[in-house]
Amino acid sequence: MTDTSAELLPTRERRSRRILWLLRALAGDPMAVAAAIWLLIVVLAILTDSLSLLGDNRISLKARNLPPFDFGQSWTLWLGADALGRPLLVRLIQATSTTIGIAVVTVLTSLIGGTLLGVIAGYFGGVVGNVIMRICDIILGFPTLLVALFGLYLFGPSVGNLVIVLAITRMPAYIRVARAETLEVRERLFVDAARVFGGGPTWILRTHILPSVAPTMLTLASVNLAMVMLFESGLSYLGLGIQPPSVSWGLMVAQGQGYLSSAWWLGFFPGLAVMLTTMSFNLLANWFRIVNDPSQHWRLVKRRR
Amino acid sequence: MALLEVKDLQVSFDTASGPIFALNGVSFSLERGEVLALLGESGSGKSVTASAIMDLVPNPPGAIDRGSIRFDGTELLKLSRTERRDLCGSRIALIFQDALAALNPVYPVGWQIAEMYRIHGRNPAGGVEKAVIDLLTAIGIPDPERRARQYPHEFSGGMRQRIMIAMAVALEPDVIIADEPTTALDVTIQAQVVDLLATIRKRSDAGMIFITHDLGVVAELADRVAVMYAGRIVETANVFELFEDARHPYSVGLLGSQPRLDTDEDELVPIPGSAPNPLALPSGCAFRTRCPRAEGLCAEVVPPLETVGPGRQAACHFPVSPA
Repeated sequence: MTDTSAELLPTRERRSRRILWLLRALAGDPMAVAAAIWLLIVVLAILTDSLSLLGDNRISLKARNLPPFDFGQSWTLWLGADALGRPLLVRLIQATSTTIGIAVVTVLTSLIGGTLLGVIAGYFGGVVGNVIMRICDIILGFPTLLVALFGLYLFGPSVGNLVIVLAITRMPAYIRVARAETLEVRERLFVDAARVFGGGPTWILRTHILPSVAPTMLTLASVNLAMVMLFESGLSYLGLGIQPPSVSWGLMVAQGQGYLSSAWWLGFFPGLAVMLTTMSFNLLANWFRIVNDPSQHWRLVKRRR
Repeated sequence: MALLEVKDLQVSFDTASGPIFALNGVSFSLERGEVLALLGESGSGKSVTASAIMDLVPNPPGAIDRGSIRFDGTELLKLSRTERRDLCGSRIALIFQDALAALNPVYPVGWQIAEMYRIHGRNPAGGVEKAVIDLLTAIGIPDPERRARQYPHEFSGGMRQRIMIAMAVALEPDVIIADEPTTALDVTIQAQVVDLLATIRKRSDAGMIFITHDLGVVAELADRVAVMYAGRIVETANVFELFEDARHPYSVGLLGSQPRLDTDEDELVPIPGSAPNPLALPSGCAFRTRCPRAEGLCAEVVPPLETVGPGRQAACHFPVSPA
């Protein structure tokens, strides 16, 4: 028999035990540990940048397009330097907060908004559901890039507008998936049972539908994170996203594009950062899905024999 | 006054090929402390009756066309959604047939029993957790403190049905509706669950409607039986009277197609034909096409449910005479 710390009732004393149990579950999945470590590095990068612990980021013509792995130089130059001689590692760290900030806020907004709207559309249906779905169809009817370009052109390129535009253009995907999942869960007998036992719509949505829909939505969100990072770089490339001298990984990839044959590292390292981050989120989402599935989580917390 | 009184209930479902009348004027009553068995074949309207009482008829396509359901003096069909919801679970409870599907797989069973108290904002003496453990002990789950934290998939079928029963009786309802609670279980487990239902019902002296097609369970548990056929009640009788001398030819056929140990009959007598197509019910009595006693009158007039003896009724123009 598995022994889990699953609570009978959510009470405060059990919270610390729950955290301990989650850590044990994390240790059961090496890939998730690696992912967590990378995300920890990312968080550290954001911290060092916001606490201004980095050396200066001067233009230095001597170091123009300096190749990476020249360990004779100062540590800032270990990943090489860009066309203006700015150390790539420092630029990469400075770009972290913008990139992660935009991506996470965007994905969270569309995740929360899309899930709520989709669950409501799926559970209640009727006029409300139809209105929500038709708005989705309208947004999906236009090419995403066109909507984004138009929005940013109208309201001006700024980080806030970028987040709003990206969140809105991505939201229909979440709404549709959440609605489809809700339609399926709604017909399960335990939802009828909750109704028979006197649960109102809010209770059923909160305790029975949302927890069943959440794992799918989180997986979708983790996949979307990469898309948002790349999409932001596309918009930045067109001059409507991040404005230099601010920098993001996507923008760095875009700027490095012209130097691919002469200085590959300009595009490679920021691209690598995007890939590792996305992959980490993916792995953690998968881990989270298993943790929240009672018939699966014995895989993570096996007893040592 | 009866605890639960259903009168002339008609429920229909819209389908592509026309409306299906799942219930055609069902009337019965249930007293406090009484066990009423609803007996009938698949499609006779047993479960729809339960759904109508619990406000579970999907609308659309289903609709309650006419009739009344009075519970403890209140007309349920006239109550608002919220008022009915307050009754559901706390005063009228339903036990599902498929306990595995009716329990949410992502919550521990103790949590789900506790859910009953939380939905209705009850605070039992000694706390919810103690109440849950007490209930689990009462339904015979060993080591309840540990088992309460386990998930539905970690229980056997019989255990899950017990937990379903615990949820239904948690708030001591006045009426318990059990929708074929033993159909999916082994015979040995069936007997245990039926025993449990009987004891737990006695605890709060609730009335119980027991929906089944299993005559053995009826004989063991029920006080009174209502036999259903094609959306109508065709006979109601005390359980002993029904087994001794059934009056409606359908009841007789039902009893005759079941092997019995207490008679010398060597042969089982099946009812010829099959249940009628609900889209095209025969005129008059729905059973006449399969009935050995049918005559011309049966095709013209729907037989009303008439008193044929003290406390018993049958809906037949030519009832089987007393043995």
